[in-house]
Amino acid sequence: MKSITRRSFLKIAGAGGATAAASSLLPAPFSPLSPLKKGFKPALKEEWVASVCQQCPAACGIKVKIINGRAVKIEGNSHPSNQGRVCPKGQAGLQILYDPDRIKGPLKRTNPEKGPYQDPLFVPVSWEEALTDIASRLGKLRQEGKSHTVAFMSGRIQGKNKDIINLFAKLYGTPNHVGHSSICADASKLAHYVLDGNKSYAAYDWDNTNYLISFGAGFIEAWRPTVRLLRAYGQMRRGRPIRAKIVQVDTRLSVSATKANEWIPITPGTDGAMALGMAHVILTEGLWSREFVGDFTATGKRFKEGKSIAPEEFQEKWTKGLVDWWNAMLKDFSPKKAAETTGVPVSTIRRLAREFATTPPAIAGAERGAGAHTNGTYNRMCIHALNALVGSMFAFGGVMYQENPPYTPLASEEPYMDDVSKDIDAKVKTGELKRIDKKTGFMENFYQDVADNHLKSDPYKLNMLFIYLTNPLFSTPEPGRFYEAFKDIFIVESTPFLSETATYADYILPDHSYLENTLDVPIYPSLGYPVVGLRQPVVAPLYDTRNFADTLIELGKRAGGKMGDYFSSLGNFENVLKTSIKGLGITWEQWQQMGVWSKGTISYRYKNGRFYKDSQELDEVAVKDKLLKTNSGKFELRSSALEEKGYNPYPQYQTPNYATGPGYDLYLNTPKLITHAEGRGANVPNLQEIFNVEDQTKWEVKVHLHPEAAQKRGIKNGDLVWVESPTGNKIRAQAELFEGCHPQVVVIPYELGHTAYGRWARLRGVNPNWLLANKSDPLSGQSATNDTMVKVYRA
Amino acid sequence: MARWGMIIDLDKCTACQACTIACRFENNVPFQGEEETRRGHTRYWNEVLSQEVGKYPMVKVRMIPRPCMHCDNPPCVQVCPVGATYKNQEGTVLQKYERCIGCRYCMVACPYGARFFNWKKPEFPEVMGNYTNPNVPIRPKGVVEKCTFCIQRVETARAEAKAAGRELMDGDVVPACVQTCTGRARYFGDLDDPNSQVYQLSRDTRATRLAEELGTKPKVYYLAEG
Repeated sequence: MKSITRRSFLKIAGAGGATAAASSLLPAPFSPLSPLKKGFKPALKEEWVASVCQQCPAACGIKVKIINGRAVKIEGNSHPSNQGRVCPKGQAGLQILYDPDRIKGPLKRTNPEKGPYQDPLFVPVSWEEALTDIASRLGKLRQEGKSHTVAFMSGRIQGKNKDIINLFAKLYGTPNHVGHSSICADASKLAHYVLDGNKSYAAYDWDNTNYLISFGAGFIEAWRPTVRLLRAYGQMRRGRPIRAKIVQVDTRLSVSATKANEWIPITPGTDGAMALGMAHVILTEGLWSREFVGDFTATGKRFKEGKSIAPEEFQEKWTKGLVDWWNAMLKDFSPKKAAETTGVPVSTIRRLAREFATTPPAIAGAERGAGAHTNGTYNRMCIHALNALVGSMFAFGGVMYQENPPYTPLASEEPYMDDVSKDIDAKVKTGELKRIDKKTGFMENFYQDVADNHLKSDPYKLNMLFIYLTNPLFSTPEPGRFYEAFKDIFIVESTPFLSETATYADYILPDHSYLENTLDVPIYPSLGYPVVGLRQPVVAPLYDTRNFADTLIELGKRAGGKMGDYFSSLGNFENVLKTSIKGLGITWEQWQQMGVWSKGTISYRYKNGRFYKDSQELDEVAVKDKLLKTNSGKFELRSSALEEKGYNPYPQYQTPNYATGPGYDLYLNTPKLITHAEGRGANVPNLQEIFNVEDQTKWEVKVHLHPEAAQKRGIKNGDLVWVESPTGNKIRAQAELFEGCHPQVVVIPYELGHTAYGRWARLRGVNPNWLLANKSDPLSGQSATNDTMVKVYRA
Repeated sequence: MARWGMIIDLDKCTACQACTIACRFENNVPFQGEEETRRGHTRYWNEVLSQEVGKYPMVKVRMIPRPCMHCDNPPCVQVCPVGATYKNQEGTVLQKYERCIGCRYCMVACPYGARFFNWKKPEFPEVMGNYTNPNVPIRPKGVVEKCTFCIQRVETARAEAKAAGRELMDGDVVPACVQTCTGRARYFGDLDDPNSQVYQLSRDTRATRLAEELGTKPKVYYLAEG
């Protein structure tokens, strides 16, 4: 490569219009124009290709500028969710596509030993060789009756990818497709389900809401969908005549908290108690929505602290169990009690409750901050119940649920099930065969327990594991468990990057980066109406990589028998998509050009005590069918779903079960920042260089402490400190004293601390997951990542 | 002749830093790596700065995006010994890279820290060179660089308007940071055109400029929070 010096630059500059290409790697020749010549014309051919971002699950529409076959700039597409804008992660996508550390072709492990200090000694293999070997191993396990010991673990899968994995698992004969939702925010989904029957994240009508109280959700950082929320923030602030109020209840002064009208510091894990205190005020002060909740049958009646109400005294409308809830939980849960639990002053709880109930439409929102505790589901229930009390469910400016896109279903797999898959399916249904994660009750997944179960051979040992877009060796609590467990499993990973988990793989079948991939991507719950973007290749694949869905279809074909027939009938993944979108009423070509399909309007609305679909009033049966999908068709403040399974049915506060011990006196908080995405973006240097905007740290992670807490421990700003947890693990990093920390909280942002993943990710910063004890919410399976206490001392 | 200026509404700004990254890709600003960052050699033509104010629990972190202010009375232009820094006809402060001798006098003079020196040769390792914008020169080692208000976009918009046989209109020119601004907090336009959004917002009661007392007359206005 010709080196670029100031001298050679001057030469070119002096040549006046000479177009000397500096090198093939710096395709932009030094222009003699500085900074731009008069009458400059961009003479190069440029075109824009529409696609969908994958830096977080939001599914923002992007368009990518292509000049001479190179992708040079990402901008937002006119997509209903992000409307032409993208966040820093989205902008930085080109450093994913052109990441020099990407995996360039299929790899095979030659070192049989697996361990953190073992070099896998990968050698390149052909796709044919790798697929043949994997297919024969799959066939052998199936013949031996061990098909259930093959598992899939998946992370950010969107659209039909998930269906293909599920179909493969079902036809092959394994119940084990373990998604990562339990290390995400399952507590939220379950809280919604037990109260209003919708097992989903909520969608919120941000543009029209007047009041948001957010319990620990990083509204403008980590809550999804990012750009939708960032856009909403601008709109709520100055995009309309009336400015919305935003209150952030949080254990640290996050960007969301500092950008909110008020920050309310709270003792970790007690969000539910604060919500109960607010509910108490709303009821005792008569501020609830009469149209949604109902009213006393006689005049002059009131909710009085400590006094029970007879059920016949109150006539409910769209809620069920309010009186029971009041009598069982709320009547004694005064703001005073809430204040003692949460550390938030009584007057603040009263004031916020009054504001919340009298500034409609209002939203009480939360996600992992309140949910990632052992009391996560109950915490989230308390918060979500507030939305019902003020009549925000399905209201203009309130809370709703996302409609699913009307896909055309694929051909049923039932006729293609053979004896093995039928047998496994039956055993799973009867409960005879458990999943490897041993999920129970309401759980969708119990991802974080897979390692322990495998190690204990309970219910059985895994023989083979497919990993897709997830990295358990990095992103789980106490990842050491997975390092141990994955030693004796045959692992096949599909990824563009050499992640920690990939260093344990026996085969790597490299996936395209998202800018070379094809996938349908429905939006993350947010707008209410269905929107599906098309992720399509903006440039031809740089390396010998394949879409994981196509790899699975190919493996399915090689399985032969009925399973082979089914996957042969699917053909390839593009065919799957073309079949599925028939129901959307859009042609493939239109979709490719627009990059997005959208229905465009919200169907369901609640107004003044009535529900409507497209301005047609709904009767109770329709409401139960479409909106409030509980057993009673009402918003159940006494949850029949919980009661059926023998759990306490009321939204309530339970003390979180902390992992602690003598001397562990600080709560550990490991938040996500906007610049990174659950560890997946760590090899993006442009994002590393803006890592934390609040304390301006770049390329590293600092341990944030309140100055008082630091002083007690003799720690000064910039000191190296150890953070130690009851797991026995400790990590060392620089201390940053921050007035925005709750005095009992230590904050270590989660993202860095990789031991693999690429040159810019490796060995930079620390990964606080090593400190987290593996605790979970017993109802939802949500990993209780906020329930570890630590000690901090000078290093 | 337009006089380009920018408005940043801090009340809508989410401190997301999309502007910083959009600028880096649009203007071929290379990342510097961990070591150079530690030396304070990173370059952000547009950076989001922060400041902690107050005591727990009444504490805030104030965050403001800082592009070049494109001062009407730019100190950097006054001190440049070789005339490498100049103000063009539309008031945009620009840098002639081939004339710059790298003395960094302008960096000392700039009260906003908006100018950056190329301490080492620009690096886009291996395939990363693919994403560089061919419309913007890559600056060599030894020269100072800064925000240009995306001059390439200004000129492109002008050419497009001319081809369509019309004058430039308000909203035609969209710098990369304004294009991606997630909270729609940024506005760009002609400060001399009374019908432009920036003209009107620059006269808002919330409008203020950084370090106005220095007499630099910045063309970037901030709208205060609250």
